[in-house]
Amino acid sequence: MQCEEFEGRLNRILDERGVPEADEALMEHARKCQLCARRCSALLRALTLLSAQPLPQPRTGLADRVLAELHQPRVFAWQRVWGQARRVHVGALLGAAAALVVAAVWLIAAGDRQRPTASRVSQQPHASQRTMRSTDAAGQNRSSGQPRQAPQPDDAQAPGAAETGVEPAVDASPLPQLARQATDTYLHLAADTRQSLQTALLALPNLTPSAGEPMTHTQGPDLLVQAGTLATGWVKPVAAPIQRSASQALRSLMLVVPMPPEDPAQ
Amino acid sequence: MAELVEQFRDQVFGLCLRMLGNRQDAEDMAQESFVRALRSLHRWDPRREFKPWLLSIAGNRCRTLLAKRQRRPRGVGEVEHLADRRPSAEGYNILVEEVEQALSRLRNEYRQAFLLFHEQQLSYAEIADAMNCPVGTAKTWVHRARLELAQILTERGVLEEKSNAMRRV
Repeated sequence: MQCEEFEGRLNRILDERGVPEADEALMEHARKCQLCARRCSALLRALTLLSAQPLPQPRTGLADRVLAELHQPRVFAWQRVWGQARRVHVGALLGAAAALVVAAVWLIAAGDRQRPTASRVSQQPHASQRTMRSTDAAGQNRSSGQPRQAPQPDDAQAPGAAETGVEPAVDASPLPQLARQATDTYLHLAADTRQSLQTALLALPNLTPSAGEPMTHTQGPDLLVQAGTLATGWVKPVAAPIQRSASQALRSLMLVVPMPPEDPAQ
Repeated sequence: MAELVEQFRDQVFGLCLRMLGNRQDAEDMAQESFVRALRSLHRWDPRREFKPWLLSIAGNRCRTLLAKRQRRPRGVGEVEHLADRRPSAEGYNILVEEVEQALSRLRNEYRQAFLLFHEQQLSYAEIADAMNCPVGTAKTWVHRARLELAQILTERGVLEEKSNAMRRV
């Protein structure tokens, strides 16, 4: 008998709750194989010890404790977790709710302040009027009919402001400055683009394959204008709502942002 | 209900104690097992034996607790508990302790199947039912538990006298 056979036979006998010592074949192998004999005897001794020991007994009153727990209202796991979370976070939740309420009240109040009333709107000039006026002021002095001088650094403050020590509102708010900077950048970009385009178009007649006369310098921009018009015609249905919304938003912004005071010199 | 608890308390507590190796934990688990069993009594199939069903609940609760314990770092007391002790002079109680120590080193499934078979005297079909596994698996677990138990006890040098006696047979 091999050691594997010994192990299998021993397990079979124990599975049937038999007595391994009564099996001759097993004992024969145990006499020859010291390892199998030691393992078998250790296992049998352990089983004997376990079966000889009485089952341990719990403390008295187990049934009472079980019944007492049974009669208590059942607490599910999610209820325990929710209870803990409620205890721990109730303060934080209340604080957050209060903060939300305060923020909502403040936003509503701020919205009311910023929304122009009918009287305020009627007193203020319309955005387009203001634009016209500012264009006039930048280009020409209406009263004198003379072109206005370019503003000098010392002209940053209006004469009236210099006397009273009050700075004009145009410096108080960064938005008009930003708008001016954006406009300047856009104009520079447009001028550069036009110059580059014209330079490129100068070489175009030599490259364009044409059946007749080469294209003149004025034909190129004309074609581009036509193409642009055509493209605008395609884009217009899409762009019109966007343009409307943008102009509406700009009008609202103009109403909110304070305009610089009128130049008293004019 | 109280009679039911009284009837099976020793088996349930014994399994919990052998599985957990700690009396207080075993008390708690036995109580929890009975409460769970009584609360879900409507799920018990009357055609099946009650004892394997009850022991399966206890075994599952113990395995859950053991899994939680394994996630925690091992305490100093447990390391001391695994110290090498020869049985020559201490006697019977030390031998029992050695066997319990060896049992505690088995895999949880092996230990539960082994205890259900050898201590609770359940059949393989009942063990498979209680542990929710095929009968072949239950049998394999018991066989592996026996082999590992024998190896651990042999390595630790306990039960030598019996070995010599067996060779003399």
